[in-house]
Amino acid sequence: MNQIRIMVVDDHTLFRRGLISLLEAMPEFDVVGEAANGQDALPMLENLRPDVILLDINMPVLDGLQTLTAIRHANVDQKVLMLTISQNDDDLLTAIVAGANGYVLKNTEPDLLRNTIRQVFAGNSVLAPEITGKVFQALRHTQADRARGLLSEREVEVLKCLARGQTTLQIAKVLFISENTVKTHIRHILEKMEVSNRAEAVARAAQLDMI
Amino acid sequence: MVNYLRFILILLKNPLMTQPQSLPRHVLIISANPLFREGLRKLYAERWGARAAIVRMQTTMTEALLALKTDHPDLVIVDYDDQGINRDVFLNSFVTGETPMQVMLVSLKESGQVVIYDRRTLTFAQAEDWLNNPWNE
Repeated sequence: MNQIRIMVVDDHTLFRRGLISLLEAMPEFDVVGEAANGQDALPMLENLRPDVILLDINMPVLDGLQTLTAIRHANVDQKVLMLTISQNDDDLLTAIVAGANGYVLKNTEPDLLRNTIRQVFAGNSVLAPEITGKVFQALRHTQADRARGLLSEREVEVLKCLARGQTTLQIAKVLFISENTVKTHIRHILEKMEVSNRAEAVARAAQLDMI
Repeated sequence: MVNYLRFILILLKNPLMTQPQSLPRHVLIISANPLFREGLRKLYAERWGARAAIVRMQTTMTEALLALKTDHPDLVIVDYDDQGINRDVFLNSFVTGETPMQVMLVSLKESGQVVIYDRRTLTFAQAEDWLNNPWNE
């Protein structure tokens, strides 16, 4: 059986040594190197050629996100699994965008980490169950921001009136505009949101937390 | 009449070796993080060999405080996160005890520093000796 070559990059010496001790007891893994920060790790990658790098985020000198970016800029095809205590949305999204193959928390069970490393090595992308929800939420916010950016302020106001169940006439009165102008706004809303009727527009807006 | 002084010293270099004692010493690990907990257990069970036994690993504050009373550990490694395992709650419990015990306070959130406490109970005569060279130099 070919072993999966692993490198551990983490400045927390006790955690790193303990983790290595656990990994070394798993026959499918070969821990080929360790480093306490990204700056120490980067020059080692070419010689050690690990299959999977376990990378902490909060480290001195060169943190995990900077290290990940450097690894991807170097066109190195090694898999990178972020192993961190950070549940910060920015860290999570930055890591994904920068090319991490997985993101798991340090409070994970050893067997779960073992399985995650195998998955990442096999080419799958893996997120810790605790943070999957954060990714979905962030995506929803991104979509909502995009939709908000597409709609004018007036169109958002009209959309909110639609969500309150108001008719074209009621909206016209509330916003001091003609019914025809309201209809024009609604037509634009439907086009921009790529929906076919008012109910769908309201449902989509609610889904995206726009109203 | 027996009078005792308690000393809490910080930053001892060599845990498990401060005073003569029958082997093996008892070690308690308190951590809510399985990777850290299991990693330490595996690493130091190998390194210590017959000198020490990790008698228990606790994952909550309640279990940990109970284990302090029932297991009489010689060394306690506390991975505090100030959520499930609170540093101050643990220390409050620690300072009220008198039995010899060493404590290592460590947190996964902080990689810079580890604090070690060494609690000893001495007679006045022993304390006088100790005061002659408290820094062991």
